Amino acid sequence: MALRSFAFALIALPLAACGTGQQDPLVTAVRTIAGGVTGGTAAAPGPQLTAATVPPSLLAQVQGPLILVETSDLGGTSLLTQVGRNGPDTTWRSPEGWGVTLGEAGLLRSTRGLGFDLMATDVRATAASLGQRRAGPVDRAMVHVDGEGQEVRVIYRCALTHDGQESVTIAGSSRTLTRMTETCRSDAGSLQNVYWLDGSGRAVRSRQWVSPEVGHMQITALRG
Amino acid sequence: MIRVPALAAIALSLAGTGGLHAQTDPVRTLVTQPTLNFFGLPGLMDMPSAGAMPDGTLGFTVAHFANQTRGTLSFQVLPRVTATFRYAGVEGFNPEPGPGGVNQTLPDGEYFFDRSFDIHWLALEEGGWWPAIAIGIRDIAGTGVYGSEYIVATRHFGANDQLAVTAGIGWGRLGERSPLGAPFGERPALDFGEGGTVSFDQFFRGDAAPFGGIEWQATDRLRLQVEYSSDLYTREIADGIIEIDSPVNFGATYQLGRNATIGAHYLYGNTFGVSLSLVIDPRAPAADSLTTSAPNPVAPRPRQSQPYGTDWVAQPDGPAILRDNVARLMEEEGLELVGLALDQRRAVLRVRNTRYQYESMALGRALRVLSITMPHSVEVFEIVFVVEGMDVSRVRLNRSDIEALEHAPGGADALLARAVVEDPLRARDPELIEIMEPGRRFTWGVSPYVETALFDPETPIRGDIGIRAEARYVLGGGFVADGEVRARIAGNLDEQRLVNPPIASPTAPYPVRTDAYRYNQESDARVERLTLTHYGRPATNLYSRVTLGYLERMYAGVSGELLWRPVDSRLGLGVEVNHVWQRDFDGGFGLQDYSITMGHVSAYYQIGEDFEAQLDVGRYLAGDLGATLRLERVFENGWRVGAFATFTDVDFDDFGEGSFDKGITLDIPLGWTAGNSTRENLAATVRPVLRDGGATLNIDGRLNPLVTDYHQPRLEDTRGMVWR
Repeated sequence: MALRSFAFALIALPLAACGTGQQDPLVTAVRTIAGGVTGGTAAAPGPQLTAATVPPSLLAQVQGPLILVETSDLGGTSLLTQVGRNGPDTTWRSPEGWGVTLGEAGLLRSTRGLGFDLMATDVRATAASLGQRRAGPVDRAMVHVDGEGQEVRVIYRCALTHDGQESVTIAGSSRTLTRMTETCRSDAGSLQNVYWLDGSGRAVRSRQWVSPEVGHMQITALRG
Repeated sequence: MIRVPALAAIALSLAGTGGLHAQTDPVRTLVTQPTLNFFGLPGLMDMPSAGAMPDGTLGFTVAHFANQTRGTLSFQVLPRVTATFRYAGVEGFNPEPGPGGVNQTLPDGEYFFDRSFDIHWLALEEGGWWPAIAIGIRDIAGTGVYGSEYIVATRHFGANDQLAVTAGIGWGRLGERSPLGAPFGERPALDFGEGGTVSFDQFFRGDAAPFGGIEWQATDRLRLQVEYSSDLYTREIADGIIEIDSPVNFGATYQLGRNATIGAHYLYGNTFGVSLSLVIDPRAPAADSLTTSAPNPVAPRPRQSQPYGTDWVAQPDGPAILRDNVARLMEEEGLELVGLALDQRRAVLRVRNTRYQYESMALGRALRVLSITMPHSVEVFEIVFVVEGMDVSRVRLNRSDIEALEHAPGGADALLARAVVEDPLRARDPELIEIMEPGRRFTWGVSPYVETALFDPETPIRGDIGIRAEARYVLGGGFVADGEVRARIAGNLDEQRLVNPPIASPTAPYPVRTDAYRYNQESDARVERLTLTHYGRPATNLYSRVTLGYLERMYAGVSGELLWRPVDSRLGLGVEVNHVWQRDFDGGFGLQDYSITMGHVSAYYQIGEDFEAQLDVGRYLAGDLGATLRLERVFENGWRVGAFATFTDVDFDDFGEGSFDKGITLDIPLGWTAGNSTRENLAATVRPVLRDGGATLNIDGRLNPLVTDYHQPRLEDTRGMVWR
């Protein structure tokens, strides 16, 4: 018979809760919903950094390998430090709790903490082609989860194309990199990734797709 | 003016958080997302059409016209079956004839409230040249004012199904205008009685009349409807509530966002109406998918050909270092460390999960903590989930599998396939190093509360707000002391009174629940609950609970429960026995004379991934004997939508209004609304009427839901989140 209703929860809001126990669910509900409306999500925009203009003084403050991630659709930018390595895969983390795993050639394997994350993808074939700057077909599977936490796996048919040399500015200094584009199609839609590769076939900068909701992530290796 | 029922208020709040983030919306057409009519079912306005919402979708609708407001909660139970609970208020309406059959009306400002259930079955899906065909029964078990049945066909035309043409035949209310005759015989006169009984003798009987309509998807968001109604509103006209000048109704609906649609209507040749509908797909998160911070990654061991050293065992400060490392990382992941036991090869981590709605997510994070902290020679990891001091499941994995599958597509399936899930009592823990964390014993909280009574026969909603204080102390050894006091600040629950006086019959049940209003009238501050509980594991596959004290607001006593539920089983069996005394109305510690020994045996069964059933058979609070059947649709993200019904040896006349106890239940996980990780949820039970037959105790801590969350079926059903 009893139903806790949001309509009344709004009235009750000024009565702040305290204690160490579990909060009344309705109070939590109002807080979280209010947070959702005012945009209090994990993707809080950091300082307005871009890969080209990262000041060397900032780089000097942080030790070890560093990447910059710009999520244009979420509107956030953050610096990520390396927190793990498992075989060829490195895992990176930002102060806001974003997680990114990069595989061979700097290809995005997964994201965490962004909401609509890329759970996993297989990058070996793409990395091998990039290593040799070889255009042609490559396939890969991408795994996301749906609203019930169930895995959704989609096979993408992809093609790598050569775009030639391009000058790229990173942290104030510019270098010439090879640009390649990966265009993929599937029943679920199409996507495009762009890689700027150094002499060893490693993506120094890339623009890689995460999910329909997050869109693309621009990843720049600031320090190897 | 009737206030919007609270359910709609919930839906509004939920809808408000949508649309902030980019969403991929499936294309909405008249077929995939049919318009919901004034009865909350696929249709036009007052008339039905043949369609179905997407499977698992919830709809909330409110429609108002000519002194009548109808609010509904509808649910697409199965791909082709829609069920609706409706609460309607009609000002000045008195459908029951007075003495001698003389028509009576209610004074202005007084409402007739009606609660009813409908069922709508899409018997045939559209395809080829044939239309979709649906069969529906309105007010299947109520007082019968909306009692009607229909068979309706709808055919769509256009590249995107922009045009829908509907034609049908209705009985009951829907068979009033220009009837074609009574193909299945006469309809017996309506017996208002107490409601709640299924009126089988009425269905599809009496005059049948045609109805129909056309709907056009004008733009992406705008739809236009015209319908020919076969409902003559005979009883409403007699009470001067509505006039019918024309059978033709016109309407326009406009979709506001992802969830909401508003409508404006010109009805029966003389009146305007408005409608609102909210459609929520529990599987599509409201705000955002989980934005919980990234986990700490797996820390793989360096590869080496000879076995890893075990010198660490002799290190004197080893246990302290391990404990500190594990405790720090567990805190980072928001998991509670209960204990750690290990030897050279095996580590057992006891975990209390108070954070993750997806149990597999707690598993994945706990495994990663071990991977980072355990010495290299430890190859076997075991996570034991602890609930209320009971070890409820043990998940065993090889460390090398965790290292190998961290980033693999398909790694979640593979990891769970390699996991051994067993009863924790089946294996002994390593004894070389044992660390027990007492954990936080004492927790307390002071917070506001809201209590509402919905859909009572006099008014749709009453409520109180107040302050509550709660405290809980874990004594150890499975004992927990728990209490709550409440003080009311404002509200009108005390205006509740006994609308239908106790049944005068000598065989009527003792007022075990209809007395509830007196607790609101006679206490402002009260002891809500004060109990001492023991949880235990008497043997493999068995769980026990004994609770002593002030169990709930109306009853105090002792409650004992025993549950048999193997860790890999979809079946559970339980028995609960209680002896309780009715508490004093003033909310203090006093007891009244009424006491009873009652309880039930229960069977729980998980049907596939989507449904859970529970059957209780036993003795209820008033001493009546009977059974309760409960069926819930369960979503992996924590949503639950269910219905229950209890039949006991209290006969329908002695039961009073509603004839037997029944209701619907709704659980909404807060993590779904907010996009973060929390195990809290909003739970609501809506009953048309709460009476004394088939009444049960409201006891906290019943075993089955506590235990099954960490059992194998649930861990496997949520495995997609193990690497999240």
